[in-house]
Amino acid sequence: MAKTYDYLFKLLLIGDSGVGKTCLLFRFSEDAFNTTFISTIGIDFKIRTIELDGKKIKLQIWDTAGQERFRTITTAYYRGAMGIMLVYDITNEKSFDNIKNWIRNIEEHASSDVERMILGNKCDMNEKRQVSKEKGEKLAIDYGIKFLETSAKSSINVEEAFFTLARDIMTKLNRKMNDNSSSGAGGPVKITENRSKKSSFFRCTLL
Amino acid sequence: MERGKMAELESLETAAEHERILREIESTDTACIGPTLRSVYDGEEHGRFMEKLEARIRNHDREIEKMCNFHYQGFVDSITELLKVRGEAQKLKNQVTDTNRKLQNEGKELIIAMEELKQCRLQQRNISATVDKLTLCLPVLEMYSKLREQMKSKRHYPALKTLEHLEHTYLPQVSHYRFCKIMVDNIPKLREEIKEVSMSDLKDFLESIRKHSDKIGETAMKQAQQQRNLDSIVSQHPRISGGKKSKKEVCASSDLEVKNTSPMSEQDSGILDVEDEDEDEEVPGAQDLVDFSPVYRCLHIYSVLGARETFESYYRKQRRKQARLVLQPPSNMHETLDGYRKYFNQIVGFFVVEDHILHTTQGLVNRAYIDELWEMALSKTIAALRTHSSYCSDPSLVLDLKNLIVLFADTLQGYGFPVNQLFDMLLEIQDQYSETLLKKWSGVFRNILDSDNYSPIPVTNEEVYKKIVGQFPFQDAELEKQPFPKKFPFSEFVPKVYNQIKEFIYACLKFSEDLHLSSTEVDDMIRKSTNLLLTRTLSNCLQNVIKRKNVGLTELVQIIINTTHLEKSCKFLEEFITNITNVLPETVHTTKLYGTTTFKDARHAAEEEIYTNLNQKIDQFLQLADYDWMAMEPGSKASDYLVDLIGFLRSTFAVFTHLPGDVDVHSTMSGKVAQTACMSACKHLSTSLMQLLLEAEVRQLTLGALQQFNLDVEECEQFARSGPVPGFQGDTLQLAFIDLRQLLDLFIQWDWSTYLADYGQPTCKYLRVNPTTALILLEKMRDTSRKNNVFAQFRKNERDKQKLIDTVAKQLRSLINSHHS
Repeated sequence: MAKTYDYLFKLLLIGDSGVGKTCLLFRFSEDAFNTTFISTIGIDFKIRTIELDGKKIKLQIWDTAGQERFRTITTAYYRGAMGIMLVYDITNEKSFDNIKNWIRNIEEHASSDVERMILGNKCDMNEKRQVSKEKGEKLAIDYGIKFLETSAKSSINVEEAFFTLARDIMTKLNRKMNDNSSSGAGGPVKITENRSKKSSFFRCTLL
Repeated sequence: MERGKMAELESLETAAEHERILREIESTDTACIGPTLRSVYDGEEHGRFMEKLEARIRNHDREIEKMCNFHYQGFVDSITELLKVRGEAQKLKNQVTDTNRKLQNEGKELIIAMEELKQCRLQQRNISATVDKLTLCLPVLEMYSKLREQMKSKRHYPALKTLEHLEHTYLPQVSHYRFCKIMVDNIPKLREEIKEVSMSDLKDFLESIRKHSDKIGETAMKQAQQQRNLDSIVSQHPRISGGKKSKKEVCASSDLEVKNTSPMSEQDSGILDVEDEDEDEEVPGAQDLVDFSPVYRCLHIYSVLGARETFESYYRKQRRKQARLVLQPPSNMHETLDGYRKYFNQIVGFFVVEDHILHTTQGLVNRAYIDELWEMALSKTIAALRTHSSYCSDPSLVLDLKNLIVLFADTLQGYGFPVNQLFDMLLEIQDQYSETLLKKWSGVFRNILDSDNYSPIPVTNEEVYKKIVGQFPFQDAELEKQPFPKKFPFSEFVPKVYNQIKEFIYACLKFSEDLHLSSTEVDDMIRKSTNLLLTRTLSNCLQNVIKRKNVGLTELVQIIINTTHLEKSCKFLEEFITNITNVLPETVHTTKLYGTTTFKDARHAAEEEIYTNLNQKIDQFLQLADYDWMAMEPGSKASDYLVDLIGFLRSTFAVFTHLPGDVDVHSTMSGKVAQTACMSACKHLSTSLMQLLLEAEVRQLTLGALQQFNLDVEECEQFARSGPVPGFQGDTLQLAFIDLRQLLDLFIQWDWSTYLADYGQPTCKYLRVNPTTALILLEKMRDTSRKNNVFAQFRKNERDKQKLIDTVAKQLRSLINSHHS
């Protein structure tokens, strides 16, 4: 079986129902947009392969239902995630306020070194904006998280967002690998050295 | 002697002759003496005559002397008397002269008077002669001036009559005058002029009729429309035949108006007498707009001029040309209804005029001519309508067009033209209408399906609940009991689609109005169209949504639920149609609705798609599989990707068979679908794992790798055992992995003797292990064994193992061969 990638990054999209998580993912994976709102039931995922520094990276992006009733199912996916996108809707203040709760959820369920990013989606609908960009930015800074305003509809910053998160994960991995090789200890990241074709395959088996 | 005697005789004769002459001379007038003397000269004996004459004269003189002597006294007395008379005579003479002079003086005046009288008499005679001549000429001139007058006032027909009078009655009487000659010379010119003028009038008429036929047609159509409205008020089932009768009544009343409002016909009343005969048959109004007098005038003028046939053929030719122009539809006619309306107005206008002409003239046009024109019109109109209507994609326009055609047909039928072909063509357009409806509804359905959120409709209060139940036949005692807020099981698209099907049925029905169809025909038509809508349009739309790229399980599951409800609603649609058409579904000929099949098919497709969809997700996971086929030792647990995969399946089935935190009715898969989906997913997973294991690219694998693989399969089996969806009997689901299980067991336990010994027996522990599969895997294992030869300490062991493998391989091959033979 020929391996078609060098790394597998598992990302997770969380945020209130209707902020556009599925649409962001749809834009990123299919470069398409659908105006009708079909709320996600449970969990879904899409895979897209990107290239970073000459490495093929498979991004398995999990799309969670924002609705409260699916919370037990979706929180189960926090643990395996290496990067989490926190999405709010700039035209919906509530969804922004809830970002704090989502961050608390992450702290509770995800691994401690998970890469995070805050996305203020629907930035094409400026006339309905309720949350200023500055407010978003400030929140992100408060938590020490990167921030972007995006629009799945107008395809603004979607690629950038996912690439940024992927790159941050990659950087963290490389740093860890260096730490591991220098210390020589096993560490939490499994490196299968007997494979010649690929450099390494990382799993988020940190806990 | 003789001679003597003779001479003697002769002289005797001569003497007698002379005697006679002398007597003659004495007795006759002096004037007549000539011839007598002449005879003397002619005679020979002049001398003798002279002697005789002398003798005679002497005699007479003697006698005179005697006489005078005898009467002398008397003579003197007489003279004296005479002298006396002479004085008196002189007096008398003077008196006479005097009188004469006086008379002359008096007479002079008289002569002058006489002269004057004579002159007067002459004048009188001249005058009376002139008067006579003038009385002869004056009427001619009067006629001529009348003619001029008539020509001037464009009353050409009377002018023509006058001309005739002039020519035949008056002019011959006075033909010798020069002015008459001029008139006579002018007559043909005048005739020609009249002909030309009336022809130009006709041309003007033809031109104006061409301009007005639009208006005429419009009026006629309007009247037909009013008539129809009237009829439909009068009777519940408006029929053309019924409408016709009352049409005549209406026309009778407005005939009066026609007469009153046409001063031209009064003028030429003599000509228009013909009109009255058939007028009762006329439908009123439309021709009010046109002054037909130029035609009549021209016709009569030409008839009088003996050129009626020329006129007829000219008129017909021109009208035929106009007909062709009228029947030429504008190229952009199909764009608007107005385009069609204008076209029809023109045609109706044309035929109303021709019909009027047919009835008001004798033979200017005849039935055959009109029939021929009508036939041409029909075929051209129908052809044009066919072409143009085919461009039309807007059903409301097609419907309007149909109404227009019906009105067009009714109007012309009212004028007695056969229009069956138009109604036949309407049936063709009906098909087209259905097509456009289908096309339109295809868009409608697409929109509904595209904009649906594929979530159960939430209801917060009674009002909304009632509203939805009113839109869609749905009854559920349990749902009714539940408190608000609650949810219908189906999403918005169910009531929307249901209503649109009804709308479609109404739209279909609209076309059948006024087509004079039986209710069975209408019913049949509606059912056929609705079936097309269901089996083709809606079915396609549903299939498109189902087959759409990136369709989610949510949509698919909701589609299954929705179609189930729509399927149940089919019988209400049947009722709906029955209510509309009053044709009971039990009637032999009625077509059943095929809605059930459509929704069943859609549901099956959605179910299929769910299976495919899940399989694709499984494939995506499998692409993440990353087995180290050369691992010496297995890991401590199942592979990461597989754990994720099983987790995904687990949560998916959990969500779709029983949504957490939601006790209402919700969009969950029916038990059977969930079971089938779960089974299909497990089977697909099992087959894919088997493929992964047997993949040619994996040249060799170790026992350690196989053990890791076994851990993964165990994870799958664990999933199957855990009952991810309810309703499976025992280990049914687990059986999906039985092939893998037996194969792995065989290799991990290295239980070749059992396998080979029990092979083919129904009780065999490895019944599902195919020798070919076993051989492939064995070959991969053998390769690893060979490679490991480098480890010397295992050499002997390895050799035995190799031998065993060779033997097993040989056995397997012979099993494979025996199978083949």
